[in-house]
Amino acid sequence: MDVFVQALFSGLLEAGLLMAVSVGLALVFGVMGVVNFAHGALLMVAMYVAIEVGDLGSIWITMLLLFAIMAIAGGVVYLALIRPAYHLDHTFQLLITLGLAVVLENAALLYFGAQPRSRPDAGIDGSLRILGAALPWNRVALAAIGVAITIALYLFITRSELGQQIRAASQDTMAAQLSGISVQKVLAVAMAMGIGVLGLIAPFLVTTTSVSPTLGDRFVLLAFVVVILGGAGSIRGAAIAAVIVGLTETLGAAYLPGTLGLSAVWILFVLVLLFRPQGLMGNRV
Amino acid sequence: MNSSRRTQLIALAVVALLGFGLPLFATINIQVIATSALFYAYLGTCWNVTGSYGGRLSLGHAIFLGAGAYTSTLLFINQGISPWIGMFLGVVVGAACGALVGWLASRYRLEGIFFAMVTLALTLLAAQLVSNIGTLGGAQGLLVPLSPDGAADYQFADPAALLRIIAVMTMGVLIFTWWLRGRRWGKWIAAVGANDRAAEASGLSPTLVSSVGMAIGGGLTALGGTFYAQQNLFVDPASLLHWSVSLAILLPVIVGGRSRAEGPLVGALLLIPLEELIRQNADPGYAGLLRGFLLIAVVIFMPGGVLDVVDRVRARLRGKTEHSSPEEVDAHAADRA
Repeated sequence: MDVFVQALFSGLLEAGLLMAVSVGLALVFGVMGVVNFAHGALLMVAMYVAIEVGDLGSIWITMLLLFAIMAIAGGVVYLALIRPAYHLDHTFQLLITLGLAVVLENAALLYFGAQPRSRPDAGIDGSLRILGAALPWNRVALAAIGVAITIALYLFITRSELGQQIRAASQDTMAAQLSGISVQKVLAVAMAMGIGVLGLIAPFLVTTTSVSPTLGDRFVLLAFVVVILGGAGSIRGAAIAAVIVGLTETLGAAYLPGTLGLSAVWILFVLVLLFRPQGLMGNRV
Repeated sequence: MNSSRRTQLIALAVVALLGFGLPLFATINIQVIATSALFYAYLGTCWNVTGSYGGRLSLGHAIFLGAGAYTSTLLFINQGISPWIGMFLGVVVGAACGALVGWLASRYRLEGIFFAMVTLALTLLAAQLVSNIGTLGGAQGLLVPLSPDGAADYQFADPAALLRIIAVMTMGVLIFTWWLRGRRWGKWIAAVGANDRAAEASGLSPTLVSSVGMAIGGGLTALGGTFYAQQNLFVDPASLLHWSVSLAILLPVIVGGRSRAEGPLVGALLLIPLEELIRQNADPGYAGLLRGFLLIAVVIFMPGGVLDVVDRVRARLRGKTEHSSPEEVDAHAADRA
């Protein structure tokens, strides 16, 4: 029972983090059909930047700064890499972002070295005790921020004018263009937002997780599962899927022998791709 | 596109010279680099059976490579069966894995990025499973024990022997690919890869053709897996069953060009020596940087690869001279009328 409760709560905390990591990817996938393989590598970059800038007096200032940096990075990635290949098949865009991931990983390796880094001192001490499970406050805070970021992005997409233009462009590019929306601008903004949210989560993630050049691999693959399971472009879907994937991962780790826990997630991934590639939410936000 | 007889002979001559000429004068280091280049040329050509003219972007060929490496190694360790025989059982296992992937792809209509994703997911799953099965060596991997019989057990002290073997394998797979492309089955595999539904409408069974295509690619890749195991005398999930291995197989194909059978050979001969030079003289991270930048640049600026650019330049040059011929002008006039 204790094992179950612990795994359950850990899974929910993992879900909060996965949401924040995946919603940006979901947005980009939904709007452009581009599966951004570099999403995890960009998170890795954001974490290194978060460690480099360190304490700026307030965590909110750090978050805003990182959001700005990563949003600009997202815009640059769109203009430099995605736009020139926009007319090509999506598999080509997958290859380009795969190339970007390889570049970022190796650049980080050259610049920061392979040694993992983190900022455990910046976090909150102690654990939350609930129903016999011990949850480090660090991770609780991370999950809460993850959920908040997800809600904020959802509100931005559904309520703001820019967000509605992004949705319009993703549903019918031609019609959006005819009604005066600059699709290229909208796509650049979507990419900037999608990558920007990685900057929001990074200052919190470095308090619980060490960053090394290959950190992105695990996250991008988990985010793929979340995004495909949630449905292209669906932020609500990604939120629900993040809970499913988070629980699958921690319950799998609790009950399957060895390190087989993650294989439960990969089996889920294969099954979703085979039986429900349109995801839980289909094409809804 | 089918290659001219002359191009085919040049390709074979280059591989033969590398395999059998180089050991006569080159240093061991150069022979090792050539072995690596031909290894990736071989794997890329296998990938191309279903990747390019089969139209499917597989990120899962690491599975087939692993299937071959593990099958022959396990048979050698547990049953004492020589990898020369074990490699053929590896082909059977690799082909079975390939048939399964091909069947899934067709049965569930996995197209474009979804096929890439499924092959990626299956690689992750395979790595997790192998890492957790003790009899497969787990995450630590398996050492291929040194054999007193040496060559009879596919073990060589002389690196030139491995270079000769991979050269023969590369020539074999090139000849096979050219042959296959001229046959009905080759055309079917291309048709199903390019457009499942259209191929079905014209009376083919896409499921069967897709399974056979991936089985061929998987079986041939597995043969490369045994070569890998005997070259390194070590197999483990981290260096065999990882998406970066699939990328390493894929990259020479993209650089050289996917449309022609010789593309992967050209790509590997351009890319691998350059990478090895960097790796030996600088931080290996720079070789990784080159890999990533090249992938991006080739896809953006010449998605058809080097051979496609060469073909176009030649077509343009020929176009200029032929435009003046009277027949050509007449043909154009007829078109307009």
